Amino acid sequence: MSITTENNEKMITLMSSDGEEFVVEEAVAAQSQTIKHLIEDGCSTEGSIPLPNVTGRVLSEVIQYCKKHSSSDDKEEKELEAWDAEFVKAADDHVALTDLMMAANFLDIKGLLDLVAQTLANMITGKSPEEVRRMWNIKNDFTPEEAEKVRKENQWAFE
Amino acid sequence: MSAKKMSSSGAICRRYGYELPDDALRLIFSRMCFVDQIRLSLVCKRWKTLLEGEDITPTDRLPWIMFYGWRTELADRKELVKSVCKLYVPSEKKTYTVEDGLKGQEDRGKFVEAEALEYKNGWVLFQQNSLI
Repeated sequence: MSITTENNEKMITLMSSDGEEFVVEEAVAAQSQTIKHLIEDGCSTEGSIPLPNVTGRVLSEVIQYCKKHSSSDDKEEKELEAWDAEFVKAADDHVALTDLMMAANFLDIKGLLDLVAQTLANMITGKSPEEVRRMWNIKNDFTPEEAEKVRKENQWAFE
Repeated sequence: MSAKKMSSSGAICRRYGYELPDDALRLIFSRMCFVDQIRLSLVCKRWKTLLEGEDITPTDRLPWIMFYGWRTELADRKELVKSVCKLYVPSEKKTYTVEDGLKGQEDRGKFVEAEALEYKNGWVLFQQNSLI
């Protein structure tokens, strides 16, 4: 479905995994390389673009980011940086950030990927392996012997 | 499972979505310093493999400072020479100690007038110029 607004801006409809529809300007949607390619391949002319692994909640955040970044130019870099910082702060915890990271990865939005990756990296810096496992519900698949071997190889880093 | 049910609270991400794809994890790992990369290779085997990949470079920009010395210990009435290497990490303002990296007396001369040529991924390449 392509609708055109008064200022002749082409609109794209995106559909989240939970069936929520978002109508956005093409320039905003095209911040995502994945969607950009879909548009170029003519997939946006009929109906909405389905995004089967992005929920409405996450998609609305992603769109918020894309809107901001498609409307700002380089001169506003400082302001944009401050906006980005607020944006990840609002995402609140690592669960929300991980959802965002997965969406940014699937949609291929480089700026958002970099931003969230940096935030998550800062979050796990200085944490113990056990704390990180708990954060992401990761199973420790090392046997005690294997873990000891890894620890021994770089004993100094674990002290 | 209907699409509606899947996403109602984002719970699906909490249960299954935690497997961040390799590419996404690499992006996170590349933004960590060397010591954290080593530490977190103990999280699970997948992380270790990814962290040891050649494409993962640490964020450390300032060179570490290395001190090398020797300590003599008496064990079983025999003198044991132990190497002690101290690594100062400027970005962390922290010193790490690697003990016994070299074995025994015969290695003692190895660092005399040796010059560090290159360092990467936790290795340091030394050259001893014995021609002078």
